[in-house]
Amino acid sequence: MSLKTSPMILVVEDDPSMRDLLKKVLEKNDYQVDLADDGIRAMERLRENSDISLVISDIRMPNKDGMALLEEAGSSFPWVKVILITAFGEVEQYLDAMNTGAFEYLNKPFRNQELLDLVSRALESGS
Amino acid sequence: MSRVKGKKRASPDLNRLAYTDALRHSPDGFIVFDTENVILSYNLGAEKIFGYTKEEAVGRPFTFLIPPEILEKGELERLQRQVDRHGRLGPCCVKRLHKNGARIKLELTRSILRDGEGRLIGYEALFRDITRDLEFEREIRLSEKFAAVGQLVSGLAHELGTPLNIINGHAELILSDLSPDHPYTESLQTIISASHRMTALMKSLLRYVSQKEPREEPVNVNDMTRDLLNFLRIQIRKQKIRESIELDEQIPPIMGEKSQIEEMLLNILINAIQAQKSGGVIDVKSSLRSEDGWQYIALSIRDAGEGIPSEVLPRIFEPFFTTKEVGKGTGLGLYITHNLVQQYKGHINVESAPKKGTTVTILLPVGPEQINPREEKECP
Repeated sequence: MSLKTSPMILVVEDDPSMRDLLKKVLEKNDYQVDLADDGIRAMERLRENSDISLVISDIRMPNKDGMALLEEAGSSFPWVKVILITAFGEVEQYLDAMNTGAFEYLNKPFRNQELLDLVSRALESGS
Repeated sequence: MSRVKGKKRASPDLNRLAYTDALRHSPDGFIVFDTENVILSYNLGAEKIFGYTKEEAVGRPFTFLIPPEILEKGELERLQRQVDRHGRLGPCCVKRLHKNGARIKLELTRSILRDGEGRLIGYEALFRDITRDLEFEREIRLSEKFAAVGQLVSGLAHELGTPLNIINGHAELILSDLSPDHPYTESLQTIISASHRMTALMKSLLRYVSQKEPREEPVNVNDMTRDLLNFLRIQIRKQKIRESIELDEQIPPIMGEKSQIEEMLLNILINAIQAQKSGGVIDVKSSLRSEDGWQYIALSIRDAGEGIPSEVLPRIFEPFFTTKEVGKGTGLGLYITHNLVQQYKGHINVESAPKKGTTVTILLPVGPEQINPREEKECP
């Protein structure tokens, strides 16, 4: 990690155990973590916390889902990158997400290291 | 009555002639044989159904059209008794032998032929090939069953993604804090490897059952290959695999269900990636090829991996057969691909040399090589 303050990542996930896992894995690797349990809360967090530079969001969530969040965040906070997570997906869903502007797409279940590799790539890629 | 009066009644000879001509050209098979089972008459339908020409068939006892296992069971004698007792038989379903050795299923009706004095002079058999019909019926029954099971498995597998991720992720998290000689390190590794096995199995099943109702649409194999390579790019980059892609942009689209063709190609691409350690090669080529009067799209995928040992090669399409390490392969990928390729009346060839790598070529039919417009008109 560099000397400057560690990047702030917003984790959006409705399953508490999954949310907890993402938080622990990211914090263990010196990232700062903000949390939301659906797309509506996530938009609130984005508006309130301007340090957020990356969103990791589940696709399937109640209220506002990951795809809707991706679209909305993309137009209001274009500098924020989004990684979408879903249960083992179809190629079409992947293409949808990528065409809507997701930085990457991760299938559940994934390994912690896969997530960390993606996160560092997303943060390195610059805005 | 006066209305029919003017009509000229067809002579019995003309009747017989017309009848014989219709039978000769019927797509159904028609055979006449004598009491010694020797074939006397054999129509065009029979030629098509059995693959033997009239010249090859007439004059021989018809037993060569019956599979040996059926002859051994004494089926012929039983049928014979039935015909002799009741004057006719059927329609019933019988198994017969095509010239190429394939077993075919016929719907058969047989009756006795007598001369003017009522003496038995032979038999006639009328039949049609119902092999495809039966297969089709079975496919429909299977697909109905499959759709229901598919929905269940697909829902289940989607739901399992999150808990599997939670088990695996938390176990990895704890493991990363334990020293390698900690008494629980191995236990955690066992949990992780078991969850990987479940994941691999779930992914295969899910991909297999999530195929939608087959829908015919033009599919551009080149575009699909590019999409799939994008889909796999993370892994390709991670393993530092060099890609070489040579797609013939002139190839026509093929008709089929997108998700099924995706599944075929994806399994081969995944295998090619997994067969290699860091720094391998994946070489993907598409082209148009002609074989046996048909045009095929050929997609070949070459890797520079370890290759498949020759003793393993005959088994690679068996379900649950895998040489991958525990947790990596389910043994379903090639099995599924092979089944799908067959369903599309295509071919799959695997060439492999130890230490040199493997080339898998999938041939998917586009259509007849050249459609002759005169031939097309033949059917009224």
